[in-house]
Amino acid sequence: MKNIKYFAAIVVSAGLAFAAEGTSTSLSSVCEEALNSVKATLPANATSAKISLAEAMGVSKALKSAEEDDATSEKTIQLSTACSLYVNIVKVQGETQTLRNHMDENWAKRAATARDIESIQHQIHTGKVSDLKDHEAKLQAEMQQNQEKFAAEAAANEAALKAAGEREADLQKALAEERAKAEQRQKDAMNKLNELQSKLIQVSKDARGIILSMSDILFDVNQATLKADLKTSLAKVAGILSVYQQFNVSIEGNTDNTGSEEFNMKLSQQRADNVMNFLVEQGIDAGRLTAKGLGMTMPIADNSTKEGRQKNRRVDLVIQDKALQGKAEGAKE
Amino acid sequence: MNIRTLAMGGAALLMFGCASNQQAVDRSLGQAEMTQAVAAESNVDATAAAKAKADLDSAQALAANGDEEEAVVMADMSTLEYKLAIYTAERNDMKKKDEALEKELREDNERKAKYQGILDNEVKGGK
Repeated sequence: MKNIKYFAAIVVSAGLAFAAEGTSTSLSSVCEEALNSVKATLPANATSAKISLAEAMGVSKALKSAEEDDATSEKTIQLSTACSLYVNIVKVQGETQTLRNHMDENWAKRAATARDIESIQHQIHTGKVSDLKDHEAKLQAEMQQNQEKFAAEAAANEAALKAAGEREADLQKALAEERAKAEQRQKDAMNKLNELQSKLIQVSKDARGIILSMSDILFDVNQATLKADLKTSLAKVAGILSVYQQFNVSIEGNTDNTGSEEFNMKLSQQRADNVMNFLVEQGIDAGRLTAKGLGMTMPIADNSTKEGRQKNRRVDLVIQDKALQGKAEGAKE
Repeated sequence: MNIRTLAMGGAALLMFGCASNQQAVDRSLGQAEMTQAVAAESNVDATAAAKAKADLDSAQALAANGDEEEAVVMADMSTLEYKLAIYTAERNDMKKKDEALEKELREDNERKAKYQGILDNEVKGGK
């Protein structure tokens, strides 16, 4: 019976061998070595495990004493079994404390990580706010610049408009003054030209200007040659035109409806040309004169009567002040 | 009864094998029974608990037969077996909690990396 129990004790001691690296064969030494081995693995703060270890050391001493008395006694076997249980208890307690320490470290790491996350979130928030503020400031600066630019442009436009308005007013005023002068000049000239009024030269005035209508009697029959009386009158007209340099003269030859149209057109053009040439000879700048033959296209009286045809055969001098030309053309239109 | 109290109470086992009277039997049996109660509240391994209970039953039978010394030894053995089962359950529970915490820590670090990425890319990178 004792041998069987001793064998059981050896089996128990074999259970201790996991921690014992030595080569001891006695149960007490195996127990002690196993306890020392597991002791080396304990964390410093494994208090419960150390208390269990202290108890186990007491068991180990009791085992040694019992083994010295009788290595195969039941007490030795029981103490050996108890030692085996203690080794496992101390080991498990040590592992538990190691895990507890590891958790404490991880809790600390989690707390640090949480602080880091909070800090990063704060940086993101403040960064975005800063970005938004920068963007807003930029927009405001751009708006300010645009407003200043628009205000400057508006002021410039207003000034330009004002200046243009003033110029326009000045021009209108000057034009009105010029027209008034022209009207006065034309009136004066009209007074002078009225002295030429006779049966053969009619002086009138319409929107085109002063009209001197000269009868064809002042020309040779069916000829463009100017008679002496006409030359005398034209010389007076040239004198007036030389005084009034602002006057332009349009010389228009007209006929009645007798004869061919071609002949009449040619004759009226020649008479107009001859009048113009005479005026040029009298010192009038050709640039102020135009001559055109209108033939029978512009009658002023009934061609079916002798008197009417006589009126239609004529050369008109349309005298117009340059300052009033635009006005007259506008009136014509 | 908590585990720390249980550990402190283990000092009584230093008297292991010395008791030879009814007082020692009562103390050992009482401690074994209280440890059994603690084990019942813990998630101990069923096989280990069964072995401890069998030893406690033997101790009670020996005590009833007047075999006091054997009863004390068997009761103390039962106590140690229960304690080992309790501490092992505690270690296993702690291990699960440690693994869960380790997982949470990894997730925290992933969140941190995510926010750090946002900070680097969207805020600093955007400037």
